[in-house]
Amino acid sequence: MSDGTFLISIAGQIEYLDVMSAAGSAYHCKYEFHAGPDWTIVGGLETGLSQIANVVNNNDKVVFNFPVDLQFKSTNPFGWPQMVISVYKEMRLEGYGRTHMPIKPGNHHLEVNLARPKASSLLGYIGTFFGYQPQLLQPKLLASTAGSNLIRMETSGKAHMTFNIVSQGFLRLGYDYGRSARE
Amino acid sequence: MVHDNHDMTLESLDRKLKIRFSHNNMCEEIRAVESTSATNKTQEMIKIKEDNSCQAEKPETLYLEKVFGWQEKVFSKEQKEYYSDERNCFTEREKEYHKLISEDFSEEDDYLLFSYCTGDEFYVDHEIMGNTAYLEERLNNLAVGRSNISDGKDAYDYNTSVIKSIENPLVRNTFENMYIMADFGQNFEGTWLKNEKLLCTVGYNKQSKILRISPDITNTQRYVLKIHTEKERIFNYYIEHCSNNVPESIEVNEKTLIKKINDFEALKKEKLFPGPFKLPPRNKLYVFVFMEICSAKGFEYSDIFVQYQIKLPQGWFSSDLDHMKGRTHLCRAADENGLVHFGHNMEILLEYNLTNLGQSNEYSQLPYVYFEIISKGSWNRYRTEGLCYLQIPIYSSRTLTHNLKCFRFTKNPISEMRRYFIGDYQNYDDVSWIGIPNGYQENTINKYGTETICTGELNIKINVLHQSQEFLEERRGSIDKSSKTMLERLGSSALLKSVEQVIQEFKKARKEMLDARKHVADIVID
Repeated sequence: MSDGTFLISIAGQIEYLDVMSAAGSAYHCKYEFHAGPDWTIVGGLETGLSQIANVVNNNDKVVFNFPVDLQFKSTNPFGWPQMVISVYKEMRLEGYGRTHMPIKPGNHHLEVNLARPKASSLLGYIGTFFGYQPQLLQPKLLASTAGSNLIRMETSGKAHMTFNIVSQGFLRLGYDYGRSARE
Repeated sequence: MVHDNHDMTLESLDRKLKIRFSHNNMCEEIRAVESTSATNKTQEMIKIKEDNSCQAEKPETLYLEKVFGWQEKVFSKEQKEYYSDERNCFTEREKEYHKLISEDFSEEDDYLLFSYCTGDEFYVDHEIMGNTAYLEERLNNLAVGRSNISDGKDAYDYNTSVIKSIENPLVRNTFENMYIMADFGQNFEGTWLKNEKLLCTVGYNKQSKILRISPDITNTQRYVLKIHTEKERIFNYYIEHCSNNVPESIEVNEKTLIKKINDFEALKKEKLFPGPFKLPPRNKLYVFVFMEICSAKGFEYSDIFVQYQIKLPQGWFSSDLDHMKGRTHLCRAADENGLVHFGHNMEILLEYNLTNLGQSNEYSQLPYVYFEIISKGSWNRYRTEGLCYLQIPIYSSRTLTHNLKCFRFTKNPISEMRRYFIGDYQNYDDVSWIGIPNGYQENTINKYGTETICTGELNIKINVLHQSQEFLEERRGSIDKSSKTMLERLGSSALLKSVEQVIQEFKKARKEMLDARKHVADIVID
């Protein structure tokens, strides 16, 4: 492609979660991607909802092995794709996580930290004692900085994922990944 | 005063050494001639002629020439006096010296040059070592497979073989040394005070058959020796090599032998590599995948084995379909963690058609390998213990270790009971469901509703190697290797190739058209 576009292919899996899981609980997760205005999705899975993973022992890793496979086309590194992952425990939100996709081609292992919002009103605070957990209407909000100063979150665990990134046409446009681009 | 060590091998025969020893300007000359015989025992002879001249007042030129043979014992004045007294001789060697001296009635008065042979107690300072012993002995006895570990490329060459012998780091070369000395002593009140200087060290190593002469043989550049007595005397000396030349027959023999060795090596090589190196066809990328299933741990039952399957997407081929599926041996866990070792290796060659690189979607479809961990219980009950998959990282040549976490399907207590009593091996249609199901075309993936349980983990190692004509030196031209990723380099040539291919197709079509036209013309004429 000599018209200034480059392709980024992201393939990988959301491997497992490291949350303080209780025996007998069931988790599932969903992911979505958010990218800048110059980015278009060429093909693949834009969003996904995983199967339900049950936990047998306390503090076990919650294994999903959930596939991610997506190809982007862009003219501009601004707005590099981000993934927002929402983890649910039964029907309740466990946490949100967001991460940029790795830039260098190759195999990457990411640890995404999860956090869940805290209630913002007094009524909400009292509600937490009864199991109320606020959720974001649009988790994609986390991919931008809009409203970040208004949300209060608390940490809730980690999600481990691996990605294989392949690019085409990127270096020809003069970009430089850094020392060992040929991994 | 001394030159660097110069090592010379003695695989064949006669070598002679001359030492010219001169005082002041070309005054004393000692010609030493060494010769070695064809038998195993090497011999050197040194002839010394001495000439003496001193610059300042009295011109006395001291000029000596002596030929030394290998291990030829020449006595100095002091030694003569010492050994002629029988009471001084205790060892065998000394007794022999005594005999030699008593038999020698020549009245040669030139005591200047003499030699110490192996066995005489004379050591040059730097040679006195402390702890040698055990290891050194062992090393010396190493039948150093003086494996002409030729790099296989060069034909046997005398010179390179010599250098290799010298540089062989394994063997500590212990040399049998012989020292050629000069004694500049003087008579002092009736006793002879010796002042011995070392002129030349000749050492021979039996194992590597190397004769070392230090300092080097020289014809032009003289060695200068300064003696500090009441008057300072300066001596110049030369070491000359004047041995008998290798008789022609033996040299011819040697040459034919070397030629035979070379021919044999070439024959051997030809047997191993019967043809030129086979490159992959023009527009293909060969990916060699070497995978090892190392171990697994944390599964429910202890007797488990792993089954794997490789699924190739479009554009990828493999010629050996046998290796796309496989199974390891059954292994029992030894400890409470359920650690099970497999060590199962497999290798497969995947081929990718580079012409597909032009299209945008193709390369992103990478091959997947799916693993099923299955346990075998009593009464042949096979249960699925875990499922996991991995996308083979074929985009770059490297080695990767993965700890894949596994899960298995479950549903309700009834299914668990079924699993326990009957075994739920392969309770699914297609294992690729755990990744992206085969032929999945939509743009969201929804697996909600399927219940799984997290089980143990599987440890695998993958090595990937690429081969393609694109990477050949001559085709790379001026492309800077480090700045492009492999796919980019392949991609740029894919474009050219597709153009080439179009041109070829055009030529072919044109030829067919011409043929057809001619055929029609023939028919019409008929």
